[in-house]
Amino acid sequence: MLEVRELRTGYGGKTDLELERLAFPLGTVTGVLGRNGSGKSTLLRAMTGMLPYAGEITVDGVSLRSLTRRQRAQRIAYLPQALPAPEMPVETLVAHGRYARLGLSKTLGAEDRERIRTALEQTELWPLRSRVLRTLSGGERQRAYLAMVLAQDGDYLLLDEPGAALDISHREALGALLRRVAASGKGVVVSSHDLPLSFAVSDRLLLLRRGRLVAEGTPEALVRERTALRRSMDAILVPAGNPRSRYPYILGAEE
Amino acid sequence: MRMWKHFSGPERLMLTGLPVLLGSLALSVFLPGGAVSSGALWAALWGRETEQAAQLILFQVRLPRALGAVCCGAGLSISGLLLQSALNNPLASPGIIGVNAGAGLFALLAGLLFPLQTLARSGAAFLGALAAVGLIQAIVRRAGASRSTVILSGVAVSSLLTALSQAIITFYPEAIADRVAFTLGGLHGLDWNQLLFALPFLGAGLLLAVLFSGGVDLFPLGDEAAEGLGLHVSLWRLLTVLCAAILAGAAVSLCGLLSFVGLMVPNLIRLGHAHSCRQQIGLCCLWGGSFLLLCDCLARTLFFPYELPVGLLLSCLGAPFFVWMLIRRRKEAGHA
Repeated sequence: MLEVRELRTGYGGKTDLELERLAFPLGTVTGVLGRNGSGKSTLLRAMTGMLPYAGEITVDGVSLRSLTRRQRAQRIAYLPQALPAPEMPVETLVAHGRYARLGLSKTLGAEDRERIRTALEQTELWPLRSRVLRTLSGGERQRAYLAMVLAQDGDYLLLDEPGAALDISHREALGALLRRVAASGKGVVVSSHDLPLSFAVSDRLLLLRRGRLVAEGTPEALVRERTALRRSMDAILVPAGNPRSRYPYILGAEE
Repeated sequence: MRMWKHFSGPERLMLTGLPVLLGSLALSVFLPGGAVSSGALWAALWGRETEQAAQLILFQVRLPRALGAVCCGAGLSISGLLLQSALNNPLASPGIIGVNAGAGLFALLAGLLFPLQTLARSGAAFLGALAAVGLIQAIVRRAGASRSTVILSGVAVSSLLTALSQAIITFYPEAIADRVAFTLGGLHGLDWNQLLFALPFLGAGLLLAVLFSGGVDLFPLGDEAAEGLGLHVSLWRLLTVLCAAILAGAAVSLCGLLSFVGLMVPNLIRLGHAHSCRQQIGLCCLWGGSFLLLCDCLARTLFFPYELPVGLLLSCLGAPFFVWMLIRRRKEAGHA
């Protein structure tokens, strides 16, 4: 379990995010929702130890501060929002996911190669493995980075807007992939603006507004209780009501 | 020929690089010119030449010069490669981290204090390069090790050290003659003592570069993604810049301020689709060495019996290359 207690963090010495107590269990998908500047990315950065913070963050009972970068990367994989397009083949990028698990010589072993292959297959990138990232579309590139963090094989996956550049079918595939990853026992935390997808994929949702937690709960509970969603996202969701609908909930209008 | 197709671009570069390096070495050592023929030099190599001049020229002039060219070419190329990766800028070269300004100032001082002592100038140039980079590291430690901080600190420190050099030249105008030769860069008069002084630093720099290469490979992914993979990005960037400074400083102590080698060779190697830093380091050793050797041979023969400083030739080649890089980058950005 990834736990956050009395967390205060932010940029340039300011407190941009303040949270009392949160837990991210293994085997579940937690969606983090909020408008721009609500603190979603700040929360994920703090949980990877990249931002200084007051309070306590623990990984399976161990303080995040006591872990070395390498130990932390073995447990927590993090996909940031901004992803450059370097002159590098997809397969090489995905292999970098194994960095924290390699020895001094940084040579890939049989298990590493197997993980890389699985990650490429999971993200449907096996046929594109030799292509250079710069020549790929934005969506393909985002999937390549997703494959990299899958190959990292951490117990927890923190993904910052992983579906932002994906088309509808790949967003759906991403949702299904995140469910499979959680079903395999990993804890997945996803920040997103895509409300229908987040509500379809997540077991639990956190709603943030101006660096504070507005509400947390299951998708069903948050759809029923509209105020929190309206406060944090300025939107509401309603049941799709059609069995052929892609998502169980769709964006609704105020009555 | 069929087998050749199975090799990747970097493998082909590696396979061709070794014979090209050996060929360039042979060309540089046995190049006809001067009082001694190639045949006499060849005979001297096997101890068959009775004439002492041939032996002297081969072992005291040609061999240290050729090996020095290989060391400088490799050192400057690897240094440029590391800097371009650490600063995520393919146009970066050792001058950007103050190596040239620091080495230039200290070499000038050594020329004044210990005139006619080449080893003192070599040592001073190396120390100057490290001192400049040490100053930059001190600034960066306070201001944060972002790419732009490193580059801007380099600009500030270089400007300061260049101003100091100019001040010395103003007060001691006689220092300028030595400085011109050092600033242009060249391999003329390189001796075994200088080579033996620089070799341990070049060896240590090469070893560190190979050790750091796994982390250097993560720089292009951006600081956040690299941190997420477990790399201490700011520390690794500082170490990589320091390693680049050791290599460039050692090279500068041998050949003066040779420009463009560190810019051209890594970029040409990347055209061969070498993506891993370790591969690129190997290729820089082979092709950087060959490149400087061949340029030196050209500089020696182009206006024979006069010899051009190789730095002058490199600037003539490097400037158009730099412009070509800029245009190529613009085209790539347009296609992306």
